[in-house]
Amino acid sequence: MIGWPSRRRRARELDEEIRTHIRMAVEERVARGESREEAEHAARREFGRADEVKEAVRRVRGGLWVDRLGRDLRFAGRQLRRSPGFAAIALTTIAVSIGLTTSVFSLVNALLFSPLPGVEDPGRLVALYTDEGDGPGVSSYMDYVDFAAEVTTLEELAAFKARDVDTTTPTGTVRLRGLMVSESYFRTLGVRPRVGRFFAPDEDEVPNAEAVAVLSHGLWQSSYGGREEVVGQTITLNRRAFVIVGVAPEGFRGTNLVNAPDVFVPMAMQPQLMPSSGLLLDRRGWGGIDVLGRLAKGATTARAQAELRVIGERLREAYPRTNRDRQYTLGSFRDATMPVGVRSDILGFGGILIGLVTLVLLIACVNVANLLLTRAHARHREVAVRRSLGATRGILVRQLLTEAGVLALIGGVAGLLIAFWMNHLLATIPLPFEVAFAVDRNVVLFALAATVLTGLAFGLAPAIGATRHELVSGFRETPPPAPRRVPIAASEALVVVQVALSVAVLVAAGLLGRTLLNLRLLDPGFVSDGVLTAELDPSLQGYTDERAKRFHEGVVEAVRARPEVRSVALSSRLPGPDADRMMIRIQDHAPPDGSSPYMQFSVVSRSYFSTLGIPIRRGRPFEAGDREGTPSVIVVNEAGAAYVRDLTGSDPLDARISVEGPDGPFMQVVGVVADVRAGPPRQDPAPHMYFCFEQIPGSESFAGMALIATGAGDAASLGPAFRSAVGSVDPSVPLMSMRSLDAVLGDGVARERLATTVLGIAAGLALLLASLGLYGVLAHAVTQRTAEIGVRMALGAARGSVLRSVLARGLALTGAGLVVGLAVATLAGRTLAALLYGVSAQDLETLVGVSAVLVGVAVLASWVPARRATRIDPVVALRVE
Amino acid sequence: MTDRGDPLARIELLQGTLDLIILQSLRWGPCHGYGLARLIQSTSKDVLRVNTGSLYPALQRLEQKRWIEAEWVVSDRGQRVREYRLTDAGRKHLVVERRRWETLSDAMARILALRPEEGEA
Repeated sequence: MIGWPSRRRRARELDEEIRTHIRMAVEERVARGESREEAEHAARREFGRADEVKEAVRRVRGGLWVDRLGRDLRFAGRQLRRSPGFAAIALTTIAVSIGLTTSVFSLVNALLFSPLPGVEDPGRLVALYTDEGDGPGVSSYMDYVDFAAEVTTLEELAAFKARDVDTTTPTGTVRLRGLMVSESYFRTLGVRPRVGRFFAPDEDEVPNAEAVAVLSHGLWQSSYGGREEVVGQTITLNRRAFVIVGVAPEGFRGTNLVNAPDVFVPMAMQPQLMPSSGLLLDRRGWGGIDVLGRLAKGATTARAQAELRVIGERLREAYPRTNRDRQYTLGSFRDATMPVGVRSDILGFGGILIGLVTLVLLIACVNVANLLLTRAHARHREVAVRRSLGATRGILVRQLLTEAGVLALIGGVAGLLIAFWMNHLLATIPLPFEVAFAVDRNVVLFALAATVLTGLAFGLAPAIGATRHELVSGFRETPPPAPRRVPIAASEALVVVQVALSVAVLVAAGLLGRTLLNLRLLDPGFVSDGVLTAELDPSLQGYTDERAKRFHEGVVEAVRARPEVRSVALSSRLPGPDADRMMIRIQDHAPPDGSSPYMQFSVVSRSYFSTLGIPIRRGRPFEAGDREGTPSVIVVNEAGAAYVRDLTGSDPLDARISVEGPDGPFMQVVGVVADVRAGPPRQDPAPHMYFCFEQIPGSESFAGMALIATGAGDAASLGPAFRSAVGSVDPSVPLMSMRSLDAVLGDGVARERLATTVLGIAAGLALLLASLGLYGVLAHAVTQRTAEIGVRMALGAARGSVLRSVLARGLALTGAGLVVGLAVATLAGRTLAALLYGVSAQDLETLVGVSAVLVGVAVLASWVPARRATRIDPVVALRVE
Repeated sequence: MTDRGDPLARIELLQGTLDLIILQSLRWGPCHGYGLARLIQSTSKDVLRVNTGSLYPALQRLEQKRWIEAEWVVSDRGQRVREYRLTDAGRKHLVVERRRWETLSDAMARILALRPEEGEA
């Protein structure tokens, strides 16, 4: 209808209309015989005040909400400028708390809700899991091949496995995230190449034959300058040249939200990507593959699930040795965008974090509400005047709300900026995965919703409270009878709520801080400081198993000969969370009701335990006498010893174990070593058995081994020793993935570190806000009671007793909040339990510590107003009234 | 609104009454703000004097309700004036309002003509 431009025009028109009106009146008077001067004077007087007329007209026009809003906004702006201190405190409070909440949300958002670019119709994608009795997990490649051949309810099935890989560039060796994919992978996801093509079926058939690769868009841009001629060039992965056949589209990051692959290679290239593992694709017992399917037209998840069960049953019959305990389940594709379990982990963890920072936001709202309430009360004379001048209650509520809205809006925008900054801060914490803390549409919407809700939360109550109060006294003819108790009581209640909420946040932060400490103090069971590791796989150079064993022995000898090396060892796998497992049989003990016991395993050289400082608990480690031809021996870890004892009911050192079926050959358990904690710190170590590298015949040995060494200096100082040793034995065998053991293990407590950082900030903020709130209320109360205190002091009350009375008030409020908060924290502690380690959710020390901190801060916050109360001059105070 | 030195000269007009007066006055033809003020003053024989602080808001209100419309014209004296004229909707509204007013004033007249049986104590 009538918009902004016509608003201006109408104002100009009205000016002209008024001028004409007056000129006509003047002319008429002059015509009647008055002097020009007299006439002008009289006409103006008769017309009245032009600005009032204009205002009256504008008020009629003001039916337009934009006009009204504009006026309210200008009014709110004036009000805030009039009290800059209040505005600054309120804005800082809102901005910081919205910033914190938004930042945490953007983290969870990035992990859970980001779309997967380039993936077509993700609603029809499903994840296939293999469950061996320990929950849905990765699958066997051979099972995948059988499923792919038989399944009809899934139109496409794809397998993939992530593996870091070394690439050699002119400037040195760089680690890339590689993804081995079945030929069907890109088709299943519905991705089109940006340049070139994806893999052909025959490129994924013969193991280690077709060295072809697809680049990610990012790698193409950064290392190949985004040139289309990249197709046909080569990229060196693990010292082998791969021909680049295509480039994935921009933004495509596979199906993994956590780690985006840099380069894709056919699944058949597995031996090249996993150098210390040999060919795994023809071992049905090897699980480690992620499987993804696309539902066929008209098929449902339920039907597909039913078909999987049938095929799974057939596989069980055909391969009882490996498949007897395997169940196959379908999961949502969303869950498959992260390693198994991580998503639910993040949901729980993120939920708790968001819950706690929302508490802080709530405390901030309470604070601002309190400030507004106090101010509304201080302004009650102004409100009364404006009501008596005809402002309706609706107008007043609207204006107070606009004021709150302006505060919330400015605070919200500032909060978004703070969220940007906080994201940078949080990004410096090394997480076990890369996350883009992007501030996307979801995050902005979240910040907006938080802003609106906080604005309403802290604006509505004071607005209604203040005006209702005036409504009552406004209708009375008598002056308002001491209405001050009402807002004070409300403010005090709000402070109690605040203290209670901050107790909850403080307790949560305290418990998580102690968890982090406990996890850091946890003994990993081995030494990782100054340990250098590298992977060697001579089979890639055509070595037979027999020759490979000699090669490894030669390298170990050469490394040991170097003076800077203290100890050197070999292992088929480095300490880490995911280990291969083998089915075991214990001599003279049939497994109970047909179950099949499994144990993790690794092949290690005799010096392994001493090199990594793994203590021997019982029996003996591998010794010089354990060589090819002597009776086979096994060393187990403590968890393995307990597992064997559970199975046999007797001393594990008496057990003889077979990994090749019920008829042996059996190997004697000769020693028990300490558990090694190399996975997530809170995860209990799994049963593990060690085979002796020197004892295993060359014909059965693992071609790929990890070289591990310690020296006097740091890990990197051993690099030359590794290089010269390998060079002296066979320079053609590449030394891969040379890294310190610490780098291999990564930061196992990253999650706790993140949570503790966020909660530390949240708790500090909560404490600050609560003490500000307490201070505000007490200061206000002292101002209100100035006369009363003056009278008391005039009557001889000691300064000490005045001080005590204000302090007591503050402590009473704190105490009430503390009791409520502790009760809430104790009850809510259960939800936190999953995140805690080595500390109970009702940990007494934490609760006492939090209480002490809170009381200390409360005393400080009460002290300032209390001191002010004692400085009241009775004479001045009494004159105020 | 009316307690700050700008009372209506003689009789305080009820909200809506002024609207009716303006619409009725415009029946004789388009007129500008000053003309309307003078017209009302003279036709009511100086009983009603319209305050500009009420007149212009009323004009604005009627314009927004589309009962009148405004146009800039050059008067016979060569002055640019904003002239208001009745719209068809305004004309219809005037008929309705007049009927209501007549009913009301009839009723008022009848009530006021009643002779009090019991005077106040």
